[in-house]
Amino acid sequence: MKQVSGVRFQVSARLALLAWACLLSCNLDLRAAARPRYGGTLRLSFSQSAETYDPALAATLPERLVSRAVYETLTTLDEQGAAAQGLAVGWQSELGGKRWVFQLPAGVRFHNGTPLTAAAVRASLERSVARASGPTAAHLRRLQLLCASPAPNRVACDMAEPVLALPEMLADLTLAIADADGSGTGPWKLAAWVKGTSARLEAFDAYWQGRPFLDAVEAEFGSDARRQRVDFELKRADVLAIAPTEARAPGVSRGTQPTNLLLLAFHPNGAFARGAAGTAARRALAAALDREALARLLPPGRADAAEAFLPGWLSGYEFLFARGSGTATRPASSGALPRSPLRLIYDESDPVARLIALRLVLDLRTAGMELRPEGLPHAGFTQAREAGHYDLFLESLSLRVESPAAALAELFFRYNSDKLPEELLQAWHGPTPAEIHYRLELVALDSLRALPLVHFREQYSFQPGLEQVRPDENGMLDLANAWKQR
Amino acid sequence: MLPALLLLAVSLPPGEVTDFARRVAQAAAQAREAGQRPRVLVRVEDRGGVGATPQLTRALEEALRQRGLELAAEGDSAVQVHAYLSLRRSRPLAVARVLGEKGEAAVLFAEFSSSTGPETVPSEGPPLVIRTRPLLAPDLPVLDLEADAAGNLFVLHPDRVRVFDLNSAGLPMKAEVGLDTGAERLRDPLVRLLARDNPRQLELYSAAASLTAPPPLPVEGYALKTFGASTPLRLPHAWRAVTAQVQPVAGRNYFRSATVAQLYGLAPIISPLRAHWALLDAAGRLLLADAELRLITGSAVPGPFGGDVASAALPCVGTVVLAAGADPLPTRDRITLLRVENDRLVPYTSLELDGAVRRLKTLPATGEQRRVLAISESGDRLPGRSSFRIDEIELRCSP
Repeated sequence: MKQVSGVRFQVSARLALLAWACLLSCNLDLRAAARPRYGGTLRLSFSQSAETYDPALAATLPERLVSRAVYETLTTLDEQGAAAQGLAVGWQSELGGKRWVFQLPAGVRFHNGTPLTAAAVRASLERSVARASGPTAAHLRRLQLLCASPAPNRVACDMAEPVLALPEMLADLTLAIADADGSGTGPWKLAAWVKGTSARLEAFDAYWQGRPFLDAVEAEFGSDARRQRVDFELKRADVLAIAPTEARAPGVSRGTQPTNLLLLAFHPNGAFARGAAGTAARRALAAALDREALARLLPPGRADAAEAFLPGWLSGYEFLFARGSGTATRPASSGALPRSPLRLIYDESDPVARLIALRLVLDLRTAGMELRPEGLPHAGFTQAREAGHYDLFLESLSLRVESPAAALAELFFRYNSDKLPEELLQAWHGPTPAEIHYRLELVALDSLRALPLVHFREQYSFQPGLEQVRPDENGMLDLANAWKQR
Repeated sequence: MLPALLLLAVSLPPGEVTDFARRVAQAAAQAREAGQRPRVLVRVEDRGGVGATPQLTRALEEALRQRGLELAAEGDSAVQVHAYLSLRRSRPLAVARVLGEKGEAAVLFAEFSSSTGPETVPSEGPPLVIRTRPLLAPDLPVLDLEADAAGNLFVLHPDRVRVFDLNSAGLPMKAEVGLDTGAERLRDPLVRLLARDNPRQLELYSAAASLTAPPPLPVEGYALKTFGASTPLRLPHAWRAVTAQVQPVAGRNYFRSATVAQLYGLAPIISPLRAHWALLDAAGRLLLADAELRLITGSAVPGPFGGDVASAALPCVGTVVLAAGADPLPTRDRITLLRVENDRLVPYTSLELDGAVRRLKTLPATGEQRRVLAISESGDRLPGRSSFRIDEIELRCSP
């Protein structure tokens, strides 16, 4: 118990009266009274599409938002990237980190009414580790994660090797807990889902941490800018998540920290692959890019040049990689760039990739490298990428900004190999010094099959009268605590 | 005329800055080639708006001097130290690149536990009847307060009640008892403590549907009783022989009464006319109500109010109603003070408190002063990411 010293100060009557007069007469956007109100429906409109709410697959902003509303993970990550309480209220390691035991709270139910038990958690983890993509599930498969339920409220997980970071890893959305029928335990029940079009979430009355204030959330996906503006003006939408390339944001607009990354990825066997020649080509390509100019193609304030994979607000050191700063500037010769024309593919439904592709082609032509850009429909792009029918591709990624370690793990997994560097696995555990992430970033910039181009933000517009719906650092809206004034 | 504000410089934890500077100085000394002059160029940039450049510069210069290194100007140094202040997830970070003749010799990092934010000190204004002072900064969320005439202050936390001695300097804790408040099952917990003398018991009313029985041991002579949402709460009027009956609504953050569907706070008042109570309704309005809690037409003040409402009686102004609501600054709430005149609420003055005011509680009267306690919550509403504070608002008629 900390006690505050009893410093007294006087309140200026004149200031108080002035402020009161202003409260009555000034047209200020006042924060609502402190006490939240129950009821109402929040209507969200997303420019992005949502093809799934499956936590193992959710990637786009609306997909992750719906998935996080419906499902919960065993742990969460705090601001420092250390494991914090999720569905598990406590955990401890045994056998030097080869076994972890998680304690479950009482009174948690799935949306189908079934109580959350250790057996249900064990079965859920087994399913998601077996099928989820991503670095965490892949790593846990390699470690032969095997869980048991020694008591109704205790889950014990064994691994082939000690893993100090298991509680942090279990905060990964791909490992969210679901019942066998797909029911979650989150504050929202999925009442309707039309793939790619809309979703309706309803408040889960029996939610173990208190029912949400709102009764329901309705979301529309893939709305174009014109429709979003009309819906907003006619008050058919309370919140818009607008495309990063859209300059106009109606109502009260708020951007998140840059949580997305546009990167240029290389074919694993192409001219930029590993080896001395590949490294030289990568460095030459990096030197030829004018990232500031690329960022300026987006509306002002929406994007920053990505000098490193992690954005500066997350890493604290991105400026060290800026051109001319010394650290990242390595000898580069444009002679190392491949001379034969290369096929650059991108997803036509990705507005940032679409916008940047042409400028990239021009920039690299100046440096003596010929690119043949090809926009493909979403399905065609995915297919071509998986089949390796490209030399380079542009891709927008929602970074896992819950922690620098998780974000780096995702990048190493996607653009290097499914084996994560040992130092990264160590760095995953708890608050990690920036120095370690900096070293890993140096490795990433020199070895991953990708180059960062632009970090860009999510941009939301809000109708007046919405409370506690501000986006967090991850770009997510706090739907459980959001409420509407009458 | 706006009061002059004294803005104090932002500072990083001095010990951590000194430690970082020493590490940098050591790296700079190692980067110096044998036979080179011990001259080091120091450059410090603030890349994150941290605002502690002078502090870091001084620390680096001092550490270099202690290592026997001299400060040099551009072009006159063997070693260069380029230090940067930045933010990493909103926490201050310092990075130093040490450059020797052969290029980069070391990159050092320091993450600081916190920074001391800018402080504002209001200028002295004319003497006022209102004074505020921080009373407690508990380590747990605070749900409610209750106090008795003997000077016991009961502070209710989600899983316990603590008793402090209001009459002793330093507010020592006298007792602590664990109990189920149901708060963990409520998103915006509505829980009220009430100390009664006859029978002598400390009653806890919660919007949780049901509560486990409290421990049978008395606390400072009060038997503990807990009631779930189905039990009506009878609130005695401080100055009239009436009670108001309200009921916490299960799973919600408001009460209902026979006459008001949703009310968020209630405070007794004295009026020669009909008004007996001031209350906060669902629309964020402050209203007057009669002895039966029937709303008095035309008494509404729009607000928006919503944190809570309390009242105190002073000889110079009669009843003063304190109502918490929003302030134009998002990081604080405003407490508006209103007088009651002819069954109308008349704004009188206001004061601001950091954070969101969750509860206002009037202490039993002592002497000429009246004291109202305010529970404020700062930061995010997420578990572990908000902090609670109890402030005392002292009201006194000016001499």
